[in-house]
Amino acid sequence: MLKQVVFGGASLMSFKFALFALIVFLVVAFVLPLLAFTPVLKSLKKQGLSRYGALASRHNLAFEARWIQAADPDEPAEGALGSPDVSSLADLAAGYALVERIRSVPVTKASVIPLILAALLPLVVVAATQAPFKQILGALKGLMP
Amino acid sequence: MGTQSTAQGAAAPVSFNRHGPFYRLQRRLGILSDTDLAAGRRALLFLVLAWAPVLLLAALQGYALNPHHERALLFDFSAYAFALATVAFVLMEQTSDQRMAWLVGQFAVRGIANESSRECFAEARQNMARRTGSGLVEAVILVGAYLIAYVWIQGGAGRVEGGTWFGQVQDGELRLTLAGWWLLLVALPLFWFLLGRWLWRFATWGLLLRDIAGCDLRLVATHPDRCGGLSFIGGYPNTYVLFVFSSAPLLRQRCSSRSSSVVRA
Repeated sequence: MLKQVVFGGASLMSFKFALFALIVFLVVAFVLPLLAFTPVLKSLKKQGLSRYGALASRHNLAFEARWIQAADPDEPAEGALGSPDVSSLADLAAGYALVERIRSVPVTKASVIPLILAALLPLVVVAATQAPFKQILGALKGLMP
Repeated sequence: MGTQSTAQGAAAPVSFNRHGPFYRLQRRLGILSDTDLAAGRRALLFLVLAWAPVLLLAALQGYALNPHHERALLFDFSAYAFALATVAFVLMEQTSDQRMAWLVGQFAVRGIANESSRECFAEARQNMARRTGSGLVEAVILVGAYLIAYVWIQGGAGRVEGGTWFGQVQDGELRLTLAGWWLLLVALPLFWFLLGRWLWRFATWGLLLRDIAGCDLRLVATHPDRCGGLSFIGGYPNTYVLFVFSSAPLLRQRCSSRSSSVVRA
């Protein structure tokens, strides 16, 4: 490609589909082995939602029985302030939300972005023959998370 | 003896690179040892072995520098890319070994691998060692490396009218320069062989992860990494940054030359 740009006068943009294909290929190739954990994580999520869901139901029923149904509407609610019952309600909700958000594949942006940058870095040399350095730097910054 | 080797296999550090006939050949030649992969020294050795004769032979026949850029080795960017990739493939053996041992060790450090899964993990590691050390696979990669080198050179030489610094196709017959012969017999097969070995090791890594995923893992549904505590394994691609950096230009060159051929057609 460098040869075609330097000696053949080809535009870097004419290779955009090849570059896009390369990035897609890299992401797919490197994520593929991590799919081995997908069944385990899906099962963890399913079981987690079921267990934490059951725990939350029991806990919240007890909470309602103590603080809502048995409460006297004419009495002041100072007792609820700083009560561990209220805190555990929030903690349990946060725990359940974490289970709900379990990913199917243990992959993050940090897993693939260094690869994409490594694939594109040699392009900076090619691009330098066609565009001002400031413009290239701006384009690279746009790729950062 | 079988029990002893099994025990050793389980206790030895996980390694991508300390298995197979090519590793044993290098050990026998004294350019590496079981304790020192000597990646820097070997990278330099392979670079000199593969590319110094190409440069010398090209210079001898007037192909190092030539008014026509296709017939000048020093203006051929793919030659630089091949040489750089050969160096990178050797250098990353050291970093990949350390990184891989760390990643696999994390299953025990983080309590994900419990007592009951110890045997399963040992078996997974032995399977990986057997796969990466397969003589048959290395033989196939070697034959493939020579075939691809031939096809690559023939394609490159036939593409340019009047030939390139490594040869030309006349009446359907490939005629190589002296540098072209070294390229065909040593430099390119070495590159493709090292690349093939890495691709195979990548496949064995995937199979190792599959084997580990089949073990009894203690995952925590409420782990803040949202992966049950497995997010560390998602960082494995960083081991391959050097591999991608060095081989992507060649892959891109292949894609772009194909796409430009399609455009011309």
